[in-house]
Amino acid sequence: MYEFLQQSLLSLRENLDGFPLERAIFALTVFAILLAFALKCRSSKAESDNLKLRIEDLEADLKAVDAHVMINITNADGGIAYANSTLAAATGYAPSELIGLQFRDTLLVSREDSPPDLDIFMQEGRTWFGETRIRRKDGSLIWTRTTIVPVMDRAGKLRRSVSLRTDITQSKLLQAELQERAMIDRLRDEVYIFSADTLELLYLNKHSLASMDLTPEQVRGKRLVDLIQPFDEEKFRARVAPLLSGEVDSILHEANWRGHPVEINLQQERTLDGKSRFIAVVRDISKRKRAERNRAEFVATVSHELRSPLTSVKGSLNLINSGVLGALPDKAANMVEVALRNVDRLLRLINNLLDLEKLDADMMELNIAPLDVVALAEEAVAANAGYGLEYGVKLRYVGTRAPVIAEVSRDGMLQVLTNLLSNAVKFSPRAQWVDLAVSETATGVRLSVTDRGPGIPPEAHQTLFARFVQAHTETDRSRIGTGLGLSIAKSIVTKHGGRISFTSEVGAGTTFYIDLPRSAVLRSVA
Amino acid sequence: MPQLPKVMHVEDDPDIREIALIALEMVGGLEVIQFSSGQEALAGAAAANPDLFLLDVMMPGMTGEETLLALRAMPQFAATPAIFMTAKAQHSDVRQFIEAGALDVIVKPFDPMQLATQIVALWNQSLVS
Repeated sequence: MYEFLQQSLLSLRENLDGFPLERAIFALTVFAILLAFALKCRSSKAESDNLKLRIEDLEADLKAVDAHVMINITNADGGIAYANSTLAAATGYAPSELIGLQFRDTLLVSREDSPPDLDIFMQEGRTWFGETRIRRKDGSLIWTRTTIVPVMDRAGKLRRSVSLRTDITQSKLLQAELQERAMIDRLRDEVYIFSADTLELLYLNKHSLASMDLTPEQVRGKRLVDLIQPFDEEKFRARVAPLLSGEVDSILHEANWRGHPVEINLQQERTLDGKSRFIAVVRDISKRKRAERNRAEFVATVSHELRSPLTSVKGSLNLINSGVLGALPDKAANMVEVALRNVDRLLRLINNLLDLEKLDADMMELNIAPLDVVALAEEAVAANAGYGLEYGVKLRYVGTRAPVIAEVSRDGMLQVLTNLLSNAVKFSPRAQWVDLAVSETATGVRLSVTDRGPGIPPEAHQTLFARFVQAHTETDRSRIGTGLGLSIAKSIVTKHGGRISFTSEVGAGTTFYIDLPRSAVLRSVA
Repeated sequence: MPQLPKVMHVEDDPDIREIALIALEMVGGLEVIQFSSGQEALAGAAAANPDLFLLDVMMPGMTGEETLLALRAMPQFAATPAIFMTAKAQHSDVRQFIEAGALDVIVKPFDPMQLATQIVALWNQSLVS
């Protein structure tokens, strides 16, 4: 018996390095019990002395293990019955503080973080091995390799469990770091990872190092301020405050970085040990900027090249039509009016196409600012009253009179209202009213334009806001628009964060609604 | 009767020049001197001695802004009011032209029956300010 125990101890010692530590501790614990039993049974003094020596050795071994491994004993109800000083030190508690607490509530990140199969293992008396995360008193996390040994009563029911844990946070961190670095090194963007607290550079991917002709050694221990000069740290910290507070997920910023335009996407990330760091992905947007410039130049050129000849045509026709160049025969005067009408139509089409191009390219300058939407609506009615008269249609404002201050683009919203009012006028019977109203709703502010025209046929509802779509196949050419007005209106309203919709009844009329969100409404003055 | 300004109009498009001439002289009764480029305008400005510049923006060679800058460098025109005419009418363009020293911007296509009235109104406004 003694030889066997001695052999076992030697074998255990020899294998300790290659053996999972927690199994070794378990084996040591079993061995200690056996040794104590053997000691009781043997009476020879020599054997007794030898056994005492072995016990002393064993105690030293257990002491070493105790210093290295986190140990706790948990009752069947989950309450902590024992916690060693290593566990207490690692988690930031005093050992006595932990006694009686529910392990899952105190040391797990959440109850859901408990291994799903652990309870089954414990109930069946099987030892569980795996990785678990435990939460320090300060909220930071430790990754552990864990062995949990169930201790059963005579009836085979779980009495308590002994948990042994070793801290593997560093190796986990390293593993995650290596995986992450391998991934970001493959990116064509420049990636800078730096500490959120100290702004110390933690990692720069290959592309960013190459672009600055630096080696990893040259940036080691450096801070962001060493890389970007001049660097206003106070301004930077103010800028990233919403990111740190969780108010926003990321910050997108355009800047000039070493002579070319870049887009910087800054995100905050928490590492496995709970530390906060920033990841800045810097993308070269030279090509995109060039394309934007080309598009802007195209719009400017088209504006100039199309509008210049139209200036001559329209100007000439206006001068002829005015009579300053001499009186025209009636038929010629009629033809000049036809030409003028069509020049106006062509001009509207060009303006609309350019507006759509600008809206699509996000080049339309909306200049959104607080203003009274009611006054704006009344202005739209006044501005379009003349157009109504041409069709014998009257325009009026019928909404609330109390000012409603909202964040809108004056020109943008006037264009939307003009498009809706001119459509309403074109399709209204003579002597009828077109109504414009502003009202407050539960979700924001609503502007509505109502006509008493023929209504929109149901088959046209789906495509009404599509480009170059006309709801009516008109024989009267004066009522034909460019087919772009509603599409432009929708784009502008959408850029306000709003929504455009309509209700229509064939034979009764149509109402278009512009709903602006509550966030756009600053105040109402009753 | 208020004095009307003598207008120096610079425009590379001959058709638009002709329409503007009728609009300003015949309709508006203004005295007008026209040039087809910025360079021509710089060469002839001193002799023309205008009260107001009416400048097209997009011209080959020298743009309207460059022309105005060069005219402003001549001491006698350092404070002469200027109006730009352009088919570019974004807020930022207008702001840029005003910052370049223009009184205002007239958007093309302009109404020839109103052009002189618009210019005289801006001229009077500049006299007041």
